[in-house]
Amino acid sequence: MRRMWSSGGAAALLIVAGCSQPGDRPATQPSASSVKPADPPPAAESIQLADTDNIFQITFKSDPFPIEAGKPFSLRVDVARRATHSPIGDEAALNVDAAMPEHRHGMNTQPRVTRLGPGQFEVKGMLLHMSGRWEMYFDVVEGAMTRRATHVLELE
Amino acid sequence: MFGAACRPREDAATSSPTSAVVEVEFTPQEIRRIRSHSPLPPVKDPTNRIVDNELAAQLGRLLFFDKRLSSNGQLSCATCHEPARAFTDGRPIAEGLQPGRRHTPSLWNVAYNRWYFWDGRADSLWAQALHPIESPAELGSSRLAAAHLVDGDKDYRGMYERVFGEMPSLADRRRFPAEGKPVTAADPDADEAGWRAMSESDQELVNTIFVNIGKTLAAFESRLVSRRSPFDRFVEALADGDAEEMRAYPIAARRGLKLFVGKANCRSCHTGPNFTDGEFHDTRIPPRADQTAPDPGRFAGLDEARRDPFNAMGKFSDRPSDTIIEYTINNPENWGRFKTPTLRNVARTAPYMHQGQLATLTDVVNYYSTLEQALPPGHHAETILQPLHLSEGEISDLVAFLESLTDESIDPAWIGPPDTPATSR
Amino acid sequence: MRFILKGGGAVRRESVVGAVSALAVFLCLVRPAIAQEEPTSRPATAQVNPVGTATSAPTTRPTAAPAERKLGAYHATISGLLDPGAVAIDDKGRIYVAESGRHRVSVFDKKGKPVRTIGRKGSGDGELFCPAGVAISTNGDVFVSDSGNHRIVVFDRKGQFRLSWGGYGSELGRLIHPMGLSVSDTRVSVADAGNDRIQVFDRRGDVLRHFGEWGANPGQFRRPVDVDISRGASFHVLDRDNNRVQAFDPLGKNPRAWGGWGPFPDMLGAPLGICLREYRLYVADTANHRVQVASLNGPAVFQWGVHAFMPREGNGKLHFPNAIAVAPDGTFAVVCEGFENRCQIFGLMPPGESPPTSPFVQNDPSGQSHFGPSAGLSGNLVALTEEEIDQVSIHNLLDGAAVRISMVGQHGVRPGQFVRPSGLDLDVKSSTLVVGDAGNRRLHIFSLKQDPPGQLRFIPQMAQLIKTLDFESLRRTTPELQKRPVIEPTVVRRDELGSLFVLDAIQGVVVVLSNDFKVLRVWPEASVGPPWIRPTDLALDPSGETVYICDGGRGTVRSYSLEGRPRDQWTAPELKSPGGVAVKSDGTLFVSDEFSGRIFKFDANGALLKSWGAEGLGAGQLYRPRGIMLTDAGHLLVVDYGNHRCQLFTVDGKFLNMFGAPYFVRAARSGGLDAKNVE
Repeated sequence: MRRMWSSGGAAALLIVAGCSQPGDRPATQPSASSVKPADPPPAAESIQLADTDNIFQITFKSDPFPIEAGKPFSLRVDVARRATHSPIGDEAALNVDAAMPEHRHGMNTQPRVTRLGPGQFEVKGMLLHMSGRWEMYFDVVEGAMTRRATHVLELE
Repeated sequence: MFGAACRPREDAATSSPTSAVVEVEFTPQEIRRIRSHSPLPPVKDPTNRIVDNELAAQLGRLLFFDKRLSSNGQLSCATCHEPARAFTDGRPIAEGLQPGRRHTPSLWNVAYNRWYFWDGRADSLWAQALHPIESPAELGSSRLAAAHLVDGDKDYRGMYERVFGEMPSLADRRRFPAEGKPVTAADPDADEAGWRAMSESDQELVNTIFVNIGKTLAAFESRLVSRRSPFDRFVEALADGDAEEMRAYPIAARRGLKLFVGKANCRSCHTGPNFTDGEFHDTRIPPRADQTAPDPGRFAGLDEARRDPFNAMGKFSDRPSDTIIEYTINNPENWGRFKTPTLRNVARTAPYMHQGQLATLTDVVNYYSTLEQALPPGHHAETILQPLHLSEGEISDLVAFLESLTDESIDPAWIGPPDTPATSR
Repeated sequence: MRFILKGGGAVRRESVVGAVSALAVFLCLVRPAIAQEEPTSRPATAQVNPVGTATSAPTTRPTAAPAERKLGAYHATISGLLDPGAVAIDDKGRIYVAESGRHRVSVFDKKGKPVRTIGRKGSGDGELFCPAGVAISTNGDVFVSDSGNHRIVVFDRKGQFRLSWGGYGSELGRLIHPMGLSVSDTRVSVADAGNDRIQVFDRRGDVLRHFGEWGANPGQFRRPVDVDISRGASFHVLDRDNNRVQAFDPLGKNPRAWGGWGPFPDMLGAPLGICLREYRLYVADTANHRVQVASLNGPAVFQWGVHAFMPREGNGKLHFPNAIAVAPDGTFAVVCEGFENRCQIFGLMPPGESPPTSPFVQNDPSGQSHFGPSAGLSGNLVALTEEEIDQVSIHNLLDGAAVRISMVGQHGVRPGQFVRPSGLDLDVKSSTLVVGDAGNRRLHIFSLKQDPPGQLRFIPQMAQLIKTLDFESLRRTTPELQKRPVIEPTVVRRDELGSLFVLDAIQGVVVVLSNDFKVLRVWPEASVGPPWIRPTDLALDPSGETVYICDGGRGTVRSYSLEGRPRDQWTAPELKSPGGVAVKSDGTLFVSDEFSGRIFKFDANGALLKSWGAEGLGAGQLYRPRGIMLTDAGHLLVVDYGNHRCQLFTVDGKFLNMFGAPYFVRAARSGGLDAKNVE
């Protein structure tokens, strides 16, 4: 008896990078003037990411911007479905976390996510206390599935 | 690209025999990192509304040196936080009325901490100042005694009222016993019978005075800032492109600085203008032979801070919202972790580590270089910690850099013991 | 035999011979809501610590009274047991050990001399399958958690069957995989582990009370494995996957907890046994290789146990202790180490002395390489769980001289963090790793960054979490799962289409998920109950048509269609406890035997082709082997679980190579290492 392929079966096995790197889709051009000493081009204020299966689109901004090591900040996050471009409703929730995987530790705080409206969230209590490579995790929870989009940032 | 090429100085004292580098070039990334370490921003504490108040700082200073704050009249804050010893005591383990468990932290730049004590059990400088007053190992006193001290001293009373407004009299000893306090983390075995007999509103009154004492002490201590070390002048010169001024910075310190932000990676935990990330790590330094009780460090400290009625979320805080403690969570990884101390003025605060285990700065750099005798990693190991395998020259260069963080220049009027009759016992 | 049906369909059977005394026992005596706990030296206003806290000032710890003598002086070993999992001591000092592997309770005197055995293998009256709990009442009756039959069985002190009650299920009065239990004059309190709750029965099996459900909040449990009752009738529940002890008042309310995962004092590591004696709680702190002794509120008062490093060491040292009992007169204690097939007897230390203990920092250099029983294998990569640290390690096989190239995850409850990771499935073609997280009841799906072939280096961030599937949430939205406990993914296997086969070894159920995580089917049906006593592994044949399941309890391997219809069965007289199975495309089966240390090879029709191996430390010798996988090169990788290592064989049994914990690998090279020969 042959098994039936379920819809989207093979596609789900393909891995699309669920990560973004610093400087993804920058909203501004790097500064043209020479600054002494030289600084890297300013990072974009608004960052977009997707989970690996490309189900959700996540857009976030930090306040204050940019994110600095040792300085508490909050986030404004928008979550929408890529297929329909519509914001998620009550059927899905957002969790945000961050970690330094190389050091095997996360933040010392647990951020609080508040829903402001459909697909709109505020995240308070973020603190990346060390400099180095951090991963910020945007986990969209819908039913039994949680899908993660990861944003990598390098803090000086 | 702006590289800082520096000419060597004809200075035998600072040149290391093994170092052949005569020019110390910094890469753009190193320069960015170097600049992140200076200058120190202004002190801010929204939980203490009078932190900038000069009169409050004066009162705090008088209390800081006042031996009547201790139960036996022999000790003051300055006993363990001696101005002449960089506001610490030069001992491995603190000793107030009784021997303590850990090394006395220096008060230089103390106001920049996010958490206080080695285990972070206080989350503001004013809340921290209250613990030693009531701790039987330190001043061994109580909030009632401290309130009576202010109430009974004409000068203190006057200054207090000009800062905080009217202070009711505590003369009625039936309502306000001479001494007494509730059980707290500072004194878990306190006899609280006297305190419990007081009415709630009287307790509130005494608590408020006690908190205000802490806030004046904090106002004073917030002035202990070192902004103008040779390193700070170097960074300023670097930002201005002033080569002449940059040359004044010793070559060995420059080499050490390059290691600090580069290969030795000290800046990973000793971050920012105050040279600390303000959080807690396990350096795996073994405990002293005479201190065998397991020390849970941050794991216990955070829970104590959360239970403390004087924390930043509590009603005595002048801004109880938007605090970091409301989001901070504990986890078993915090066991045995201690706060990253500042490195400003570190050359003046020997010995080092949370039990004063290491006598000199060279010992400290040596420890990180070899990790000899370090406790085994265990599950919760600080994975960033690897032996650095530095050469002798590199070690002395790092020490030279750390020595360049010294600045004890402050108006002596602030830090000499005050000349008032009340404290000249 | 009388056959009595009680409410909820629970089954109770009574023996007419030796019938329970006709004296009615009146139940539900209302006890004070606050149990009479001992006064501690803690000040009156101190709060009982919430989970995961400890005071920093040593002076607030309750200290042993000056005259108190502590247990922990090693006396003797009872060896030659088979999978002891529970122990109790009666008031004559007789030791009752529940031997899961022999399906009986073995009784010894306090010196360790055998007295009698109670029960025998089976499902009838007086028979047992994989007993996991034992308790003695004051009149000498022996109460047994007959875990494999999902019931409680009562014997009299001579070993004669009295009555039994329970039966598989989640309704009140029914049980799933009951474990530790405790008996007082009037009540039998049972850790109903498979249902994540405590049930309290009277001595005849009627339900008096029940409390708990799956979760991490106060009053919830994640795998309650043992329970004991204080004199004040409060409950102390060992909540394994929450790594805590929860205390409740006699009504099962007002939970208070202590613990938290970790190796330091007041912390626990997947603990399996608890015993209350004289205001002290003794916890078999399994993954920390020690016994922790705590006051009734926590915190820890003292601990004993030095982690045994050398293979099979014993002699007072402990290796995964899983049960503990203290004699009613407090003069000795018995600690079981199921892993080592033995129990150790400890007596009292001289007055004022503390027993030997490992330093509080875990310093085992082979702390990694405590491989769990399951493996995931694909291409040149093999994934193994690390039981002491709740992580997953990934190795590059290199023909058996494997090199660890990454570590995945850490202990915790968030996505990408594990509590007792168990099931593993690796697939290099899709570059994914699926981790079955038994403690969090969750699947984690990672993408893997692979190096080009030929390149060998440690890749710190090899695995990146993509998504997770939470079985508690799945239960809420899936009708077939709603009446069942939350699924534990003990074993996880994917077929070529990406469908996932999840074996919940505690509930005894297989859940099949599509590759987009919809539940395709669940078997067997809830009303039927599992056909396995102790399922240990699940394998798929390469064609994806057949599912194979090992039953460590019955000693068989059975095959099923994808819908769960039984097909064939493999068995052999010498095959005692299948711990793992692998299938070749021609239907050849390879089965590891936990109890004999041998590998069995069968053909597709059930004929035994060959077997090899023996229990031991040498090359080609195994101790409690479990997972077994076929490599791309056509070799066999066997998780030599009891020896903290993996071994590679040809399909004809020729030893090729091994890797794992240094002491155990070295022991093989030197032809065996006797603890006596070392230092």
